[in-house]
Amino acid sequence: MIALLFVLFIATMGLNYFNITKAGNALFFVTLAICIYWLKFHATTPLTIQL
Amino acid sequence: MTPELSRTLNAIGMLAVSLVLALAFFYQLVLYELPCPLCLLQRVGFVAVGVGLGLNLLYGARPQHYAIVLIAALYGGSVSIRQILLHIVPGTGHYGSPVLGLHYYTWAGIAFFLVLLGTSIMLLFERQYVGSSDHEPRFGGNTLAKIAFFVMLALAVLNAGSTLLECGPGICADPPTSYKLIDELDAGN
Repeated sequence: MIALLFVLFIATMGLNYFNITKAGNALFFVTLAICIYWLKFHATTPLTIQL
Repeated sequence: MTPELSRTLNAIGMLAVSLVLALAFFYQLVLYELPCPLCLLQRVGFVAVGVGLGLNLLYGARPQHYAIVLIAALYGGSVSIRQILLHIVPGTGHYGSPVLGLHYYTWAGIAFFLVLLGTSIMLLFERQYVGSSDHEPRFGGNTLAKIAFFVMLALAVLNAGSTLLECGPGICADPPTSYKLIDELDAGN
């Protein structure tokens, strides 16, 4: 699923390139929200904190 | 600071962030050190920084674009700090080989701090915003800006492909031991 985050940011850059910046900004913050979810997931998963 | 100088400095910043991603890729391919999920999220943070810098390159510097860079760097820095804290207690091990005495996630933390510092300094110069309009051509005719934008875009595409190979469509293994999607495809044949 982390690959999807890269894809969404690439899409954001694409929208910005074609001057659809409002949609680009919206997609940026949606993607960032998903990023925070995955940070929470991977930073608190037992495997990660078990080392 | 003129708008043109600001755009050039943003392009240099974009290339510096691209260099960090390229070096991470180099170590991944040469040393076969697969990035852990938190390492991948730090890379995502660098690409997010690239989104904000890319807006400055495309349409000229604006405080809103710098805000996107700052928010992205705060996210990436948070991931780095979380990973540093996971390994800070003696005896808790580390992830990956050290580079010049520090691990990747520590270097990433330093890089995100430098992005925050550099962006804050750039925000001090108000004359860079004068004259930027929606009618200006993309990149303002600045070749370095164009190169920097597409280098970052290419690295983001490469990272998306590499991450898909490593994690597959599901949750990334922690720690990763192989390219999961390639293994699954091999097992299917």
